[in-house]
Formats: sequence, structure tokens, C-alpha cells
Amino acid sequence: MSEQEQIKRCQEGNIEAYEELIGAYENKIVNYCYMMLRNHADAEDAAQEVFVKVFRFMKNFTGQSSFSTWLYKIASNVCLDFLRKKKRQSVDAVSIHQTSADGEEYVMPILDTAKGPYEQAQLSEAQRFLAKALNELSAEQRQVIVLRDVEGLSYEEIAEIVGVAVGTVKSRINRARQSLQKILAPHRELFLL
Amino acid sequence: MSKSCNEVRQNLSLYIDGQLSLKEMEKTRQHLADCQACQDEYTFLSGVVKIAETMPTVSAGEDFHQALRDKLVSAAAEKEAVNVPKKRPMWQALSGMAAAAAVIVLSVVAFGQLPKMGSLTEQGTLSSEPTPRMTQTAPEKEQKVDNINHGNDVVTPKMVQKPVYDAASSIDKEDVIEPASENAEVQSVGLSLEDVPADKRKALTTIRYTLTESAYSQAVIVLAGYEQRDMVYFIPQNEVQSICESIEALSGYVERRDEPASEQVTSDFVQIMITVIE
Repeated sequence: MSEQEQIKRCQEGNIEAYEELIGAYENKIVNYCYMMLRNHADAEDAAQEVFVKVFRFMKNFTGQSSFSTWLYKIASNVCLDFLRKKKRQSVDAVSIHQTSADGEEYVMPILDTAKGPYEQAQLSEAQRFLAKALNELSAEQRQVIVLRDVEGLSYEEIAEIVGVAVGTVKSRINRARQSLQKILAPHRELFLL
Repeated sequence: MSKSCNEVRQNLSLYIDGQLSLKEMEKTRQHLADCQACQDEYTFLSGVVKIAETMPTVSAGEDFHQALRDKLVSAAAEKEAVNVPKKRPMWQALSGMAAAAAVIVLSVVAFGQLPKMGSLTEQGTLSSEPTPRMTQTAPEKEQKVDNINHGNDVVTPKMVQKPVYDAASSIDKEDVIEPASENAEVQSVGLSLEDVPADKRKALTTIRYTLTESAYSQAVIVLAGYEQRDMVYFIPQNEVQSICESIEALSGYVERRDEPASEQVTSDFVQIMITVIE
């Protein structure tokens, strides 16, 4: 069955068809949420919120963008919203405040590699420093780096997900990578591959 | 560092992704071949990108599917429960008053843009001059609306090329509107807030949305099936959640802020104000 046919069945409210449809995207969205939120439990909660929202609004999906892009769009909104809400709550975890380009403040939980799933992963030293550096970026910068370099999406797809022009994506990725370079400068020898 | 080094370093990210023009790609390639310092920067940045590409991925846990299925089943049940026709005359529903109503007011704010029409009141609500009502309204009601208009958010008509009727948006949440008549008959023509029974419009809780322009244009589509008079949308209470979730699922949804109703009154209305940002 083609994705289009699956989508049609989902739009009729068929849960089984929906589970089948999102099967290929589940881990991608969980991973994306994890890269944005840096906490596995939060990432799973956020990913579930994404999939429930998508299910509820399947009828609004017109097919103008790909289903995958639409999923990432909603995941991006959910994650940014999560970070904003977190900012308003009393911060009980170790965290830092970041201000994005538009002046919005976010709370960035500091990645605790001793507790997260990255503990099990055999991270190289460079990956470990990069994970920490990603954490220091603003939510918007981290979003484009994760979408581009971790998820491997095109500039056009990112523009659609973020809701800005491709030119804006180019400059945003450029600035985000420059920020990473600055943060990682003391460890640059690890990245001279 | 020379000017060309500066230029090349500014373009390194785009060079790595092949996003420069052919001419610029070649120019950058040539420069990197001749300049060791820039070559080092390129090696460093492309190394960062390569490491990012190899970051280990995280997967869904064992309980993820069951928890998700439970939520989907609940969502499907809710969907079924609120699956009422949208295009029925709102005032039939209101007159029955089985369901309370919610008021959605779209107020369009574009930062850094001057109004193209109308004027700004003290706190900025658009007060179009003249303000032709799209519906027939008694002169005294018109006056009432004008009086209420003072003290609102900045509104420019950037996205709205028609006069904005903002009686609802102009009411502070503590305000209680005195009805033109307690027994005002609700009609589908000549609708205004004054037409709604007073006990159904005492409490105006406010949900303020900040959306980008693209999200705003989609939000208008989401609201398209509902009763509307100018920029005032009337949504049955049991559909408000669905509408809010629809708006929040849009790309370009930025923020939602809820302002609870005054404690003295019941919450029969929800006022949703949408701010559009660049």
C-alpha cells in the first residue's frame, strides 16, 4: 500500500493504519526530540504528543508537503513549546538559560551523559564534546543543526519545517556552525579529521 | 586575515553543503588550495559536521508503543465525541445553550509596521475610521463598541484588509458588558456580542496566540467553517480545544498564553487573540 493510500485510511480514523504509517518515523522523531530536549523521558513524551497531534489533525494534511516534513514541523513546534514551558516552570534540574535571535528565552537542560541513553552509547571524545556544544546553542540554532547535520534534511525541507525562507535557513545554519566552532575551539584537534 | 579569507570563511558552511553558485564554489576551492589558514578552518568545520552526522541515535523505549496506542484510542474517542457539524448556525446552538460558546477574536499585530488604515487607540487596538460594521447595528450599540475600544493591543490591518470589528478583543477580562437587552434574540444576521445573552458573555478568558504570518494564514483556514462576523469567531465550547490544538500544530505557532477569567464570573467565553509576527 502506498503512503498516500495509508494516509487516506488514517484520515478516516483508522488507528492500525496510522500505527503502520508512523512506524518508519517513530525512532526518527524520538531521536529528533531527544536531540532537542536532551532527556529521554521528555523526548518520548514529546514524540507521543507529536504523534497524537498528527493523528488528530490528519484531516488537515493536504499533501502539499511530504508527510515526513509535516511530522518534523509538528515535532519542532512541540519541542520549542516544551522548552518554553520548561522556562516558565521552576527549574529543578541543572540548566542554563539561552536567548534566541528573536529574544525568546529558553531553558536548556544540560546534557547529563551519565544518566541518558548516551551513557550506553560508545561516544567518541569528539561526539561527547559536540553533544555538550549543541546544548549550548540557542533552541533555534540547535534546531537547524539537528535537522541538517543529524537528521540529514535538505535546506528546502528545513525551510518548510521551520517556516522561513531558504536564505534564512542558510544564514541560520551558517551562524549555528560558527557558534559550534567557537565553543569547540579548545578541542579543535579532535575534529581535524 | 585578508578580505578574501574573510569572505571564504563566511561561506565555508555553504561550501561544505554545496550551496554556493558554481562560480563561488570554484573560487572557494581555489582559495582553500592556496591558503593554509583557511584550509585549516575548513578542515575543522567539516570535521564538526562529520561528527554531527555520526552522532548515535536514540530509539523509542519498550513501553512507547503501548502508551502511544492508549493515547491514540483516547484521541479517537474524543474526536468522535466532538464530531459535530461545524457549519450549523451558531445561534441555534447558542439559543439552546446546551453548549456554552467561545469567542475567538483575531487581532493582527505586525511589529514594525504602521497601520495602513484606521488608527491606533491608546493601547493599540485598531479603530478603523470609519468603522463600517458588516452587520446592521443600532447606533447606540455602535457607540458602546467605540467606548469599549479604548485600551487594547496594538493592531494593524496588515493581514486584514477589511475593517476590524473588535468589540470582543477590546474588552478587558474583568469587564462585564451590559447587554443592549437581557432578552436580546440571537440571530444569524446582525450578530454582535451585544446580541449574546449577558450571562453568556460575562467572563472573557483570553488565550493569546503568537503566530508567524504563514501560521496565521493557516489559522484562518482552520477557523473557516465557523460563524464569523468580521474578525470575531464564535466557536462552541466543546470545539475550542480542538481549534486550539489545530492552531498549535501549525508550523509557525510560536506561543500560547492563557489569562484566566475573573473569579467572580463563570467562564462562558474564551477570547483568543492572535498576534502575528514577522
